[in-house]
Amino acid sequence: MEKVILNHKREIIPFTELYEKYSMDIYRYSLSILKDEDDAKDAVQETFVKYVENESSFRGDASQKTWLLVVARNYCYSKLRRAEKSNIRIDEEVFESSYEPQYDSEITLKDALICLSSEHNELLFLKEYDGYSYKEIAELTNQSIENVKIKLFRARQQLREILKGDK
Amino acid sequence: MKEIELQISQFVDNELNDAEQKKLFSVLAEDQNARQTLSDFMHLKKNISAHHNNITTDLLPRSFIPDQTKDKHEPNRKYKAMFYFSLAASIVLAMLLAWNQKSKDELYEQNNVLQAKYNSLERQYSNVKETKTEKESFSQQLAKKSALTKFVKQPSLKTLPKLPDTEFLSRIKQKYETRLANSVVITKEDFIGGQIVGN
Repeated sequence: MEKVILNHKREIIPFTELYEKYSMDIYRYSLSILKDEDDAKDAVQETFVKYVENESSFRGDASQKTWLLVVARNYCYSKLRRAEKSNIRIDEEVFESSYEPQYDSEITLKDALICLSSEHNELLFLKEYDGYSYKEIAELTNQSIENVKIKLFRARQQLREILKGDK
Repeated sequence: MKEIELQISQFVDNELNDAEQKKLFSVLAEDQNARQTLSDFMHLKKNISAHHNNITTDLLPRSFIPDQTKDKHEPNRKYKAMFYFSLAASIVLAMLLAWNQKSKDELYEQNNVLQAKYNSLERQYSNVKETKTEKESFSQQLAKKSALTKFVKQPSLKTLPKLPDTEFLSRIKQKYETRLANSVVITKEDFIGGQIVGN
């Protein structure tokens, strides 16, 4: 028997359908924060496990995708905090081995995005990829609209400077 | 410049109203750098979106979906076994404690009985000791008295006066009777007239 989920319109949808629909978006979003493919995959799994476990607490006033993004975001930032607390050196080693920028050739956008902070990366993802408005991003990330506006601008500026080779 | 760039960023994000957009366009028309910034930001927007769209991976769902056939609340076998083991251990411990408590009570009782016996024996001993001391003091007093009596003279039979014999007593009695027979009896009438009548 397959697990079924109620969407925000209280319609029954199969779990696999929900997974197929949103798993890649959750993965990309998690990757923008964690900058590690395996960790991002774990985040996807954890997000859906949480979703299944806390299905009853899902109020339906937010869209399923937003709910999933919030769960994924919480997981990602808690993972980052744990990593910072436990062992920063290991984290740096993994980072270097996985995403060492290719200094010989031109800096790619991927490398430039890795150089950005998780927060800036996350905001750029939500704006450029998902197309959320400032208000929606502010609600999702639990900060003011003004903050979102300025942080997005700084992220763009920083990214531009990295790509130009100024930083 | 920063203010203009911020506005350009907002414009790229489609977060400027019509009035703000008009104002920005007028600046863009005059400012070459502003136009360059707009171009860069638009380019970035396009590339970032494409970059994220190109990210693909195999996201095969692991077996994180709960098994519907399995009872969700059924405890793990391992924990179940551990629970029964700890339960048995606690029962054994409780029994040992109870048994230990019982033997303790018995010991207390025995102790009390022995204590009572000891107290009664102690009392008897003190009584005996008292009587013994009394006897000793009495015997000592007796010894003292007997020692004193040695120095007092005992009366001897030789020193006692001799009683008169019966012959002597009968003679005295006869003398008395004859004297009594020879005596004259004087009555009241003899004194009439103030002189004795008769001889």
